[in-house]
Amino acid sequence: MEEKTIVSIHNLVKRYGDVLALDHLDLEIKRGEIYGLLGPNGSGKTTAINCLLALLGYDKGSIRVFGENMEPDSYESKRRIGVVMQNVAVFEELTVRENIDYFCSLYVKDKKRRRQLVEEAVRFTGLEDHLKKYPKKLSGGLLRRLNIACGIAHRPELILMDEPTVAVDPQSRNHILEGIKKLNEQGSTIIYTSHYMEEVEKICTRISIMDRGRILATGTKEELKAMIGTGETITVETGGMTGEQVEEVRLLPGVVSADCQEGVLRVQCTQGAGNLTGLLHRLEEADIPFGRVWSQPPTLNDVFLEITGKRLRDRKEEEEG
Amino acid sequence: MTVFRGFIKLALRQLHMLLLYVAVFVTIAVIVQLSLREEGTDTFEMTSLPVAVEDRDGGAAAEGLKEYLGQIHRVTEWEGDLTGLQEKMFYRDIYYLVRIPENFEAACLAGQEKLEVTKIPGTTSAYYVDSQISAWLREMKAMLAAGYGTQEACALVLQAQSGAGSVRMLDESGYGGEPAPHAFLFQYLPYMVLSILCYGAAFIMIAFRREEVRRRLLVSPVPRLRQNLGLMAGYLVLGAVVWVISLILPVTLYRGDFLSDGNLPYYMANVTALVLVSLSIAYVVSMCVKRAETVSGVVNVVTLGMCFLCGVFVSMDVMAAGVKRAAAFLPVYWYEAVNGILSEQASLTASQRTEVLQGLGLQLLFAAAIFGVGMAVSRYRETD
Repeated sequence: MEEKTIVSIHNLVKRYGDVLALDHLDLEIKRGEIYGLLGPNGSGKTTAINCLLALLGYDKGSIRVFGENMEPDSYESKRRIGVVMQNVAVFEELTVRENIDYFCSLYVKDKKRRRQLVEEAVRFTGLEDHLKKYPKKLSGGLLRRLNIACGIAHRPELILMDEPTVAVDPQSRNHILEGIKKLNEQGSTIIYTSHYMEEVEKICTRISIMDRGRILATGTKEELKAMIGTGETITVETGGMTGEQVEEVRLLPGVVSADCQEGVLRVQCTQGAGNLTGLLHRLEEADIPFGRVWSQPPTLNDVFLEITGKRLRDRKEEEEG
Repeated sequence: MTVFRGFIKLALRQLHMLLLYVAVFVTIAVIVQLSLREEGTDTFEMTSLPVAVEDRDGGAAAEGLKEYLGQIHRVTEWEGDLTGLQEKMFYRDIYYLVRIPENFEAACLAGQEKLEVTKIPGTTSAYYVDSQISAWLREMKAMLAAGYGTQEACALVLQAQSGAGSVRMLDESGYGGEPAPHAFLFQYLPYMVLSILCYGAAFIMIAFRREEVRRRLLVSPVPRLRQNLGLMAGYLVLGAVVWVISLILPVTLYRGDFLSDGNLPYYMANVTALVLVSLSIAYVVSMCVKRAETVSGVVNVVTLGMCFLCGVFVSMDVMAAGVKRAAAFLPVYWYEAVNGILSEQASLTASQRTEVLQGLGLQLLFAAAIFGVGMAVSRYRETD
């Protein structure tokens, strides 16, 4: 019987000297998910991934992948995992095709099967026109695609992607995100870490927000948005407002914050009905002319900031994390 | 096997560098060998020097001495002053000046006075002419004492001296007293072997030790031990290729001479020891160098430094004793020591064979010790 839970991390503790990198971390990832792991710098994402891949030892807890304890010699589990590193991990001395073939050969011995898999990975990442090029001749976006091709060519069941779109142009990023969705449709479970909220929001079926080595919240994007107090953000184009008028808006029921810059009033409200009508009624009462009005539901960015805090992290604190 | 395959693939990318080194090495070795052969000493010929004679006597004995010197040297009459003589000697236009005094026969041949000469102090040429003049004077005295007249004595001495002795060169090397023709190739070989192995291994290991690539290999299902064995196998294949090239070169260039050399097995053993030493050095270098840009500098320092100190480029004979003592702590020194014996002796005596075996053994010990250092560096790097 196929296991439903692919990755199970329980009570994981990892210390670097006095620094607690993972603080009793619990994580469960089910087959078929695109699981987003979000967190500020130093939150412990990469440490968690490294422990999961048995690249790092840990002080306490357990990690099970495909129902087996994950150890450095868990070669059968490793055979079913693909990794796309944050930094491009290829041989600069080999061509695009040679790189994909080489890394695929670590998993697949049969030449015929491998050739087929390499062709698929090349098609999948759109590298058909660059097969004979060396990595140094590729643009940043193409390099990232090569990095992905090397990680997924052997058709792994579980793919770990650690910020695979860093420093990638929008076209390539879109190509990569579509590819990840396609991989998931083909049956791969994906763990995806990123700083880009819109990416995670776009592709992930379940998301965990991590900070200081702990999971602070887990759920679908809708569930996460429902967890926070902040609701919609209403934007109104006005002819301009005085400070007193903005302050009056701030005092309206359901308004969390209000700010007017260059005639554009931005009001953040709590969740609930009647925020928009209440605001427009108040503007009419105060005889403030207004033009276009639009309302935005809360984004994952709002969720992230509310959960992890808006305060800028101290650099030293980040480095320690 | 996968890691080994990768090693070989990366090694093939360095093929142009290997060919370049082989071409440069062969060219230099052949040119040096040919140039040394032209000025070889396989036949004996007495050295002839520019010698000046200032004859203040003009008698029969003086003429006899001049005729005798003229048989060997290029004799000119000298009438100049001291400054002119010093200048001529400084530029080596004259090596030796003999002043034949007035009343030469009575003063010098009777032993009352010494013959006055001016020579370049401390030179072999001075001793060379000194000994010839002494021999002539000794024989002249003997002849005169025996009752011969001056002219008759001069003629007899000249006749006795002109009979050139038969000189046969001692041919221990089997090549007319010269080192074996392939000796030069083997003398310079350490530079080629060290350079190819250090460059090749360093570039390959930099690729494998790149952090992200290393992580990708660590998360793969290929066990760590098998990965390390694959790399070791790659090293050995690289060494084997260089070993084959090192032996193909003398076979191609010297054919019969090399193949019929009685020391062939020792040459092969010496090259094997050299390749093993070079592999261990290459391993340490590849563990220490992190970036491709620094490979060239490090490899040059290691290979050129070792080659200069150990007599690869400059013969150990001309090096100071202190340098030789220091060089003995480097493995290439022992390679050259063995090579020196093999190139000069067609067949080895028991003591020479012992020296050769000691040299080979020391190289193997060096290889093991250096490899141990490489392992320690590797372990340190992994835990770093």
